Amino acid sequence: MQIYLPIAEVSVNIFLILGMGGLVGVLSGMFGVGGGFLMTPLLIFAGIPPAVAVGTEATQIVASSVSGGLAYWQRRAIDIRMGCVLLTGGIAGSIVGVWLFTLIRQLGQVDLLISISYVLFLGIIGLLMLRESMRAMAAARRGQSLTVKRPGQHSWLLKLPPRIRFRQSKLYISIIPPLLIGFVVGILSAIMGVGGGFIMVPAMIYLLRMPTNVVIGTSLFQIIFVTSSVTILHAVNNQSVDILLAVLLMIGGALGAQVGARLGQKLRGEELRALLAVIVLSVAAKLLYDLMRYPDELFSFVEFGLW
Amino acid sequence: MVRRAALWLLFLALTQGSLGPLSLGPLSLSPLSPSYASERPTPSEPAASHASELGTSNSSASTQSASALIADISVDNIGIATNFTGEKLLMFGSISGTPHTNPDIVITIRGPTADVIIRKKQKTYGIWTNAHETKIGPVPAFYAVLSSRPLSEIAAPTLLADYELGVPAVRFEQIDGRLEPDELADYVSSYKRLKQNDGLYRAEENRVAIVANRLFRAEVAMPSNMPLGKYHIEFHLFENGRLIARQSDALDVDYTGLENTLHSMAYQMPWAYGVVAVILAFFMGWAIGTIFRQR
Repeated sequence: MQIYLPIAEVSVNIFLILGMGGLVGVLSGMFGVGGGFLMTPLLIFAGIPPAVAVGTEATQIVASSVSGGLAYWQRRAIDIRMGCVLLTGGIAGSIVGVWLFTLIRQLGQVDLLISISYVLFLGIIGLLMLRESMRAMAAARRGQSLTVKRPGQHSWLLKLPPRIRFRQSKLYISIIPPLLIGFVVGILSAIMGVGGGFIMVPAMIYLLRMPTNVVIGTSLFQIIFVTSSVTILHAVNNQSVDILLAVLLMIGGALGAQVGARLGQKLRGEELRALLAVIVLSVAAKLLYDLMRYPDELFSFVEFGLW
Repeated sequence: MVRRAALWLLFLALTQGSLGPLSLGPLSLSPLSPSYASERPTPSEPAASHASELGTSNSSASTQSASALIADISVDNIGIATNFTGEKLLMFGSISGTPHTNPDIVITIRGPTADVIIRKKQKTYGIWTNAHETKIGPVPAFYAVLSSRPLSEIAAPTLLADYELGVPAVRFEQIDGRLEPDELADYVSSYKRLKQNDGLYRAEENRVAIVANRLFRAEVAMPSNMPLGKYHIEFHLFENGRLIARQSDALDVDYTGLENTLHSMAYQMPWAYGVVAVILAFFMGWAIGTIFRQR
């Protein structure tokens, strides 16, 4: 069944979109990740214009983060104060990110910007994850548990003024590092249509040294509002948010996440992470290959001012 | 099928009956519709020689009630809704007046016009990026030409070019960019090729059926990705390589229903649109979270 998307201005098969939402939902349910970094490239592979894929995916992440965040909210597992600091940086980052995105779009290079960002981030993260899970699997085979080292070099950053007390995280640290983390995540969110949890969660654990029980809830809290900001800014600057497409993705993603959560319980952690790393790396490889191979078509065009 | 049959009946009644052409109301009988020519941003004024040819046939038409074209289309507006997958457009009419020996019909459908930036990729540092661009316009964002025979057999290339009949004849102007003429031609032909791949530029020869040298009908499948706006449909009657008469008609393409609401809101009230998207996402997220937690 074909459905016409009013903003993407393409006709797509409704089941293809629901299925893609479901597939990424399964993966995000299995791995406990947002899935934006897989959904946006998949949408591009399916023929959705890259700018629309980014703007619309941000909207879907608002929904999936709200549904995920609800549980943490009820368990009081969100450090609201830390969330607000991250969020302040995040909103600023999203403004800068969308401004950059719009500028580069006018120069006709936005597809390139999106692809290169994805190749870089997915490549780096995939490799790190693969290495980590390989080590963990090797350690498990030897019957040891791998101790996670926390770097101690960044403590001077945490001592910069102005410092405030984050009661729920039991921290008394400078607001500059969380502002910076939020800012970077906001830029990534605007350019790539991701929540940024895959960067923020490790940063919160290793750089800010937040206790792990509040990390996920707090990052979801930040993601909800930053992706909301990204959605509105993309809608205003680029008219690239397709509500119809977003709703389809939300439905597919919600159903898939339930399946994924159940599947995830049956697989071992290290194997899951190795699998996710392989998926992430193959998406990066496909994007890189598309950039480097001789293109099917050298020419492209943009029409404007229809009358 | 029912609608098509009804249209045929109407069409036959119009053409076979004693109805004078003037009773058709809005349909213009004048072989050259001046309103259409002046409306277009790039008026395709015919060369003087063709104009005089037309002039003669025109005057003979008025004096001897000869050579004229009556035509209509099956719909005068197309609404694009969520389930839109394209629409068949039926165009039909009759050639009235003196008996015609070898009439040919050429129908053009021109969509809304746009300015276009055409970009060309080049390999830089190992990756293919958009490196060169030029801006042309105004060009139609949709163009279809349907003819009863291959265009090359209907009229001379110069005449086809004057009336922009055929995809290569669609004219353009370079607005911005400093390309050599042959380079520019490369860009423009690539644009036309891409549009043909999208089904938005089409040339369908032998697609106008002519019955008994008097009636004609043609059908074109308008694709789902057709641009919104005003479409001009032009019917051309040729005989022995000469343009005898023209008649024009219009078609509106617009979004309807949900499609219309979303699209116009996104472009006219982008802030409200963004806020609505976020509120909807919050609601969906809350609903999803609540439904699945209870199980």
